[in-house]
Amino acid sequence: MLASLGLLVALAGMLGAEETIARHTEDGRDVIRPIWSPDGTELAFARADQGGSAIWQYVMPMNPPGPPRRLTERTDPEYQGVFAPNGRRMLLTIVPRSGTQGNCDLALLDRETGELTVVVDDRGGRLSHQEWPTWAPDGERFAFSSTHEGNQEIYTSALSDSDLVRLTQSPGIDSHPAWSPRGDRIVFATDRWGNLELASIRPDGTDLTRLTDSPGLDDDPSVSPDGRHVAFVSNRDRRFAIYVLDLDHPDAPPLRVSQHSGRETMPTWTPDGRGVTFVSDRDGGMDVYTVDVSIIVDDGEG
Amino acid sequence: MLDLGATSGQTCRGPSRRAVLRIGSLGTLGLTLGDWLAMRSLAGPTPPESQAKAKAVIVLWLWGGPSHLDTFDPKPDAPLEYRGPFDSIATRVPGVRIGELLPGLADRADKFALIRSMHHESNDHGVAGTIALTGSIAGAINLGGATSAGALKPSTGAIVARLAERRPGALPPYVILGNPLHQGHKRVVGEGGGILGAAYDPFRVDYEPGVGPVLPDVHLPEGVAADRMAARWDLFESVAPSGADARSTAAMAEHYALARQLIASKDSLEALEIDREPERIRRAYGSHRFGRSCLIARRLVEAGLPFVQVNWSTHVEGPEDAGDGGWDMHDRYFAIMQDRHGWMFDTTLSALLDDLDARGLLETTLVVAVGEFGRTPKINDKAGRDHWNSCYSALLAGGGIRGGTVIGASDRRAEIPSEHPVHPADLSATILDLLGIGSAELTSIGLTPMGTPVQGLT
Repeated sequence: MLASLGLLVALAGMLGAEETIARHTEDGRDVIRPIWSPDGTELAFARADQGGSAIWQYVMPMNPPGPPRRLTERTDPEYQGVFAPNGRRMLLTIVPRSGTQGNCDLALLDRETGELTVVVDDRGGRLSHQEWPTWAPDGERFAFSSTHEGNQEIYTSALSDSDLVRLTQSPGIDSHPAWSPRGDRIVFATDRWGNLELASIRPDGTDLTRLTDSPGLDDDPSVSPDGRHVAFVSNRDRRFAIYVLDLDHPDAPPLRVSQHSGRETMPTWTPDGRGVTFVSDRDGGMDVYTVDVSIIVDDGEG
Repeated sequence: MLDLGATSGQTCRGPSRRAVLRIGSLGTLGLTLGDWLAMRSLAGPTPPESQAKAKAVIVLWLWGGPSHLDTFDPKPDAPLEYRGPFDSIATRVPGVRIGELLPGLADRADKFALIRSMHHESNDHGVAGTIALTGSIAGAINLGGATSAGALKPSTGAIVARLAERRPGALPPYVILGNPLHQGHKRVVGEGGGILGAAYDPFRVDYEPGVGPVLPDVHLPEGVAADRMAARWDLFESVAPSGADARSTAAMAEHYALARQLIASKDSLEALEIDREPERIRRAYGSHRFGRSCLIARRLVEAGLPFVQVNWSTHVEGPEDAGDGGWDMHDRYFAIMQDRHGWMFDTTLSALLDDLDARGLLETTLVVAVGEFGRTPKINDKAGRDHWNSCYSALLAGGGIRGGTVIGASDRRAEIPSEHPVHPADLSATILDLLGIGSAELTSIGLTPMGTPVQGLT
């Protein structure tokens, strides 16, 4: 879809050239977790309309372009929406009622009917938060983080809120899972080795593998559509910037995709795997941008 | 554009003073240094040990309680369930490390001092807020509604306001950017005059992103014009009590009178018109409410106001707050710190320090950043941190503060002070001392000095 967005191929992070960036929003309002629809025609994100009390999920048509529109009429916060592989449904993180401390549920939204169904909640126990859902490529299961057992761990679940599987067992914080489109790995952030680093694990909870080892934090992983690369945010150079890690060459240093001095975070891949979309304050507010990373994913042939 | 509600611009019955507010014209706004010195001379002789180093104070009130471990007192060697996911980073000052979410402040550590041994007696937001703002638990109201014994003491800002007094036509010397503090649905006491009286309550200004500066105490409901407000005022005057309540009524009258003047004098409110600032300055502070409020605070101080407080939020919790969301993050704490609060605080405070410094104001403007308490060193079962009054940190910059200084220390898990415990009463006494307000001045207005100025900061 990058061509339809009018992007030019550029990778200043590697070439030192002035990057060409596509800017998707211009209102400067806080944006949370942008993510593309599978067909690349829509971009979903949450936006803070009134500070913490009104963070709502939006979908913005991209082809053809149009203004962002809300998905629900809820008054309580909702965010981290992610399209199912078929594009018809979305998983959202929702705050079920205002003023509670630590209660976030996961809900399934049928975009055709508008029906919103809670699929994972605190399971009748103490208040807990379930968040940052990510779909398995077959659309049958999803992964997320939860504190319902007293520590933030990674889980997978079927849509019926049954067959809950806990993948991680660490006294630290495990968060922000990203299910590889290949289906074989789930990448996530963890502080089990000190500060936040990236790790991956099989969907059955085996074969924990450390992916990064850097000063500063590495977080918000997103796996490319071909499963070969991970885009993530890191402040290893003291500012928050987007990097891309080559899973086929895990010892190679991650590449920074932008040289801008602004704060960049929450990366996600374009559906064609040739661009990384992220949130940046480079123009003053927090807006959504895409940078072309063909030169990385094409093994330098771009 | 300043929002004064829907007004007709009419003046109302009563004194026809003009609220004159001109940037760069200190004498018309409030207090000049000459006024200040004159005021102090009226208050009594200056103790020889007390020399005013600051002419103004900006308090950044981090409502809800930021974690000291993830900001100014990191514990990288503590167990995982204490230190959390954030690393510490070196600063410009050798041997001083702060949280990795504050790289801008790390680069400016030579401009500020840290107190790492703040503590007090309550972990209830309302009570802790009162203690932190007034230095005393007296009159504090907890979440359950119970009131602590004793008369409510004035806030530090109210003491300054009392000693400064106000000239006719000038903005009050004590301004808070933000609405009254709340814990849930309960209003928190301690921002105002307390036993000094409502006359020394703060004058409130707020900034609404997308709208601009607003005056909460002046804002008129849509469709209510100034003449209708005047009618309400006339009604108020007709039923005004006398005797014991007359003083508070007089204070309310003062606020109303000022509101009328402001409504009639929109053009006089230049200090609030941040659109006059260059784009690079506005961008440096940030477009969010806290950033814009800090920019207004700088303009107010530059215009001569002696005490400005910026409330980060109205409510302690994010989902309750229509602003930037408070610091009371019992859950999802680390995500919110990383995605919002950390960088917002870092970039805005860095911009404020740079801006004051560039204008030659930092030397005489004390900047204090502090909340009502810290947060539990041990991470809770919701990936968050809870209230912790036994140990927390404060930042002080400018106004005579020696940059790069660290006062006090906490133990290895940041649970209790291990050196030089500092109570909010001591912090208040420090602020007042830097302004040249000591025991003589306090007793002259009927107050009993409570704290002791912290040594080693200047």
